[in-house]
Amino acid sequence: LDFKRYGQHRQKGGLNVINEGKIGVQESISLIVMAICSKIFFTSPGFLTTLVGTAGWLTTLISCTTSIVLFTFTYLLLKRFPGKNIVEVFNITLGSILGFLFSSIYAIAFLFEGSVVAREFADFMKIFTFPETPISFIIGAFIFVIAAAVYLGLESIARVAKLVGYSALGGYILVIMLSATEYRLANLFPVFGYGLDRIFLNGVVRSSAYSEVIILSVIAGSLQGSQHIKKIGYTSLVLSGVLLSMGLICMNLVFPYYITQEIVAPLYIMARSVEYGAFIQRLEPVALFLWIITTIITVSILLYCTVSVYCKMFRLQDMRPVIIPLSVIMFTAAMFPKDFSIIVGEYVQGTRTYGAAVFYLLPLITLLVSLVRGKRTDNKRNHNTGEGSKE
Amino acid sequence: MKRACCFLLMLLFALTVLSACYDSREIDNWAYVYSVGVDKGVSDKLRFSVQTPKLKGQSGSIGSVESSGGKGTETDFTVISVDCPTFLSGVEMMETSLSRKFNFMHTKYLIVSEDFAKEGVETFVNGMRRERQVRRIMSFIVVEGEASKFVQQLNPILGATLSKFMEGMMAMGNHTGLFYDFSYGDFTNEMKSTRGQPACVLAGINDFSGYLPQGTETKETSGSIDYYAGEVPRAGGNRFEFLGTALFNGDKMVGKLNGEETRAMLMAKGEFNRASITIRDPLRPEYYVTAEVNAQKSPKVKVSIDEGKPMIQLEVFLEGDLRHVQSGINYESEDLIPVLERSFEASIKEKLDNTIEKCKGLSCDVFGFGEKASMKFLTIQEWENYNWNKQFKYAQVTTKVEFIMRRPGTILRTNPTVRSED
Repeated sequence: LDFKRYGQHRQKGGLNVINEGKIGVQESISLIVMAICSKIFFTSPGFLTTLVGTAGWLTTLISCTTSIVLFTFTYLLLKRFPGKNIVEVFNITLGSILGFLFSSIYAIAFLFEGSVVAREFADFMKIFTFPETPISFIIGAFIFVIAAAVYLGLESIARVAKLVGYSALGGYILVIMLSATEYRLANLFPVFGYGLDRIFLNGVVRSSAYSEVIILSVIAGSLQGSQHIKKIGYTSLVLSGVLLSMGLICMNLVFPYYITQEIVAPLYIMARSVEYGAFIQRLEPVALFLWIITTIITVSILLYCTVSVYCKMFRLQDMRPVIIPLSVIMFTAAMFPKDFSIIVGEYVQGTRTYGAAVFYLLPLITLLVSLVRGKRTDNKRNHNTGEGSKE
Repeated sequence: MKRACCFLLMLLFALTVLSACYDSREIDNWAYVYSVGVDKGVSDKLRFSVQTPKLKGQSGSIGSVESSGGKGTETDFTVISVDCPTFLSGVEMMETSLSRKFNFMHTKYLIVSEDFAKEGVETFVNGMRRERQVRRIMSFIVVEGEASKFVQQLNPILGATLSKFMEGMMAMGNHTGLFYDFSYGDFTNEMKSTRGQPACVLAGINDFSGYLPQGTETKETSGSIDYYAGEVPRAGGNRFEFLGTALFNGDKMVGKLNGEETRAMLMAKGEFNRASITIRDPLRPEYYVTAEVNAQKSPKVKVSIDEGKPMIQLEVFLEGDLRHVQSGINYESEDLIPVLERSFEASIKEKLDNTIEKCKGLSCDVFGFGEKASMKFLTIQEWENYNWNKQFKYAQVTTKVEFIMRRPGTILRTNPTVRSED
C-alpha cells in the first residue's frame, strides 16, 4: 500500500469515494435506536441482572448518560470536519498510516459485533423456534438477507428501519403492557441491587451498549451536516436509554432478580406468559417479529458500516464487490464460537465491556490530536483540507 | 440467452424452496400432551405419566377429536406412564411406541405426587425448565396419592373438551377461594426466592367414603370447609377434586392448608376474590349464617424490623352480601347488622391468625410478607444476609379484619316463622 499517496489523495479530495445517498433525521434515529435496543431481546438483561441485581434499569441510564458524554467527543470531532465521515477524519487528523490503522480497527469492530449479534440471534432461533435446523443454515439464511439489504444500500436500510420502527415500537410496548398482570412492585427491591458502586462501575463500563451511535460517524457524509448528527445522536441515545430502561424495569417487575439472571431471553418468556383468558395468550410471535426485524436491521447496518469503512479505506468506488466477501467473513466469524456459553460469556460481554474503548476512545484520541495539531475543515478558522494544514 | 439462464437458475432455486423444510412437522405429526404426572419411580428415578388425546379415526387436529368425542368419554384420552431418569429421556422412551412426537406447548397441568413433593421436586423442575415447549403458565399441582392415577381420573363428566375443562377448573378457585391457581412459573420463581416460599394447588381423588349413610353418628362441625382435597363428604361427580394448598420449603413439601386456611392465605396475600363464608349464628349458635364475601380493597401490610425481629401488621378489608340465615333472625335490621359484622370479623381473624401461625411453624411465608420486607433494604447483600425465610418463624404478626355487610340479599326484612306452639 502506498500510504503516503493514499493520504494525500484523501486530504486533497476530502470527498466521499462512494455515493452512499442521503438519509433524513427520522430514518437515522430509527436505525440507531433499533441497533441499540435490539440487545434487550437477547442475553444482555440476564447478564446485567447478574452484575447489578434489581438495578439494571438504573445502570442502563448511567450507561446512556456516559454514552451521551462520550458521543459528544465524537460529535465535536465531526463538527470540526463538516461533511466528512470518520475514515476521512482519521486520515486528515492522524495521517495516512495511523488513520488507516484506526479505520481498520473500526471495520474489524463492526464486523465482529455484527457476527456476534448474528450468532447470538441464530442460537436463539435454534433454542426457541428451530431446534432441529442446523445452525449453519440459520446463520447462512440470515447473512443472505443481510447481504441483500447491504446491496440495496444505506438509504434502503434506513427507510426500512423507519418503516418497521413504528410497528417494532408498538409490538414492544404491547408485550410490556400485556405483561402488566404479572408485575410485582416488590421485584424492584432492594432498589440498589448489588450496591451503588457496582451500578456506577457497570453503568460506565457498559456504555458500550450504546456504542452503535458511532454508526453516525461512518455515515456522516449521508447526513445533513453536523447539526443533524448532533440531533440524531442525542435523540437516539435518549430514546434508546428510555426504551431500554423501561424494558428492564418491566422485566424486573415480572421476574425477580434471581430468575432474570437465569433466563436466556426474558422478553420472549414475558410474551409467552401473557394470558388474558383463553383467547389472548401466547404472544411469542410478536416477540419473534421484534427479534427478527430489529436484528436484521442491526446486523445490516453493522455489515454496511464494515463494507463502507473498508471501501473508504481502500478508495473503492463500488461497494458491491466487497459485500459478498465480507458477508462470507461475517458468516465464518459467526460460525466460529464453539458454544452458546462462550458467545454469551465472552463474545457478547466482551463487546459490551470493551466496545467503548474502540468506538468512543478512537474518536476521542483523534479529537485530542486535531485540537493539538489544529486540524479542522470547518470555516471557524482556515480551510485546512490540503497538505500542510498545520497551523 | 442470459435471461434464459437466469430463469433456469430461478427454477433451480425454487426447487429447494418449494420442497419445504426437510425437518418440518405438521400438526398430525404431534401428540399434544394435556397433563403431565410425576411420581417417584420404581425401576428408575421418576415415574412420568402423560395424558394425550387418542386421535382415533382422525388425521387432523386434536380439537376435532375432542368434539367427536362429545362427552369426553374414557376412550378419548390415553395415559402413558414410564419409569425414567429424566423428563426428556422419559419422553423418548414413551415415543418408542408411538408414531408421533409429544408436544408440551399446550400442557395445562403439571401434577406431582405428594410423596415425590416431600422428597423434593427440584430434580424434575430444574430438568423441565430448559425445555422450550414447557410454558410457565401451566398449573402446578400436588396430588395426594399417585399422580399417574390422578391423571387417569382427569376425564371430566361435564363439558366437551378437556382443555376447556382444565382452564375452567382453575378459574373455579377464584369463585370459591378454596384453592388458587399457582402456575409453574410462580412455583419456580418462589422455589428460589429469598422473600418467601412456594405453594401450589392441592388435589386428590375422592373415593366418596366421606359421604356417610343416613343415621351415622358424626362429630359436630364448625361450618367451615376445613377439608383437604379428596375429603369432601360428597357422592357423585368427578372423582378428582381441587381443594387446599400444598406448602413448600424450597423444593420440598412440608405441609398443607385446607380450604378455609387457603382462603385466609389468599386474604393476606391480596389474591382473595370471593367466597361464600359460613359462620355460626352469633345469636343462635346451633344455626349457620352464610355471606358471599369479597375483598373491599387490597390488604394493608406493614413490615418493620425491630432488633432483627420482623414485626408484621396485616389489615384485611372485606365486604359481603348476606346470603343465608338459618335461624330466621332479622339480621337485616340496623341493630343486628353490626353483630353479624363483628362475628364475621372475629371468625375470619381467628382463621387468619391460625393460618399464619401454622405457616410460621413450617417457616413458610406464602403471604408475600417477605416482598414487603425486602423493600426495607437497600441492597441485595443486606437483604440476603438478613435471611427472611429463616427469620419468618420469629415474626410477630398482628392482624385486623374489617368486614362490612353491604346488602341483605333479596330480603329486606325477615319476619319470624309462626308455629302453632309459639
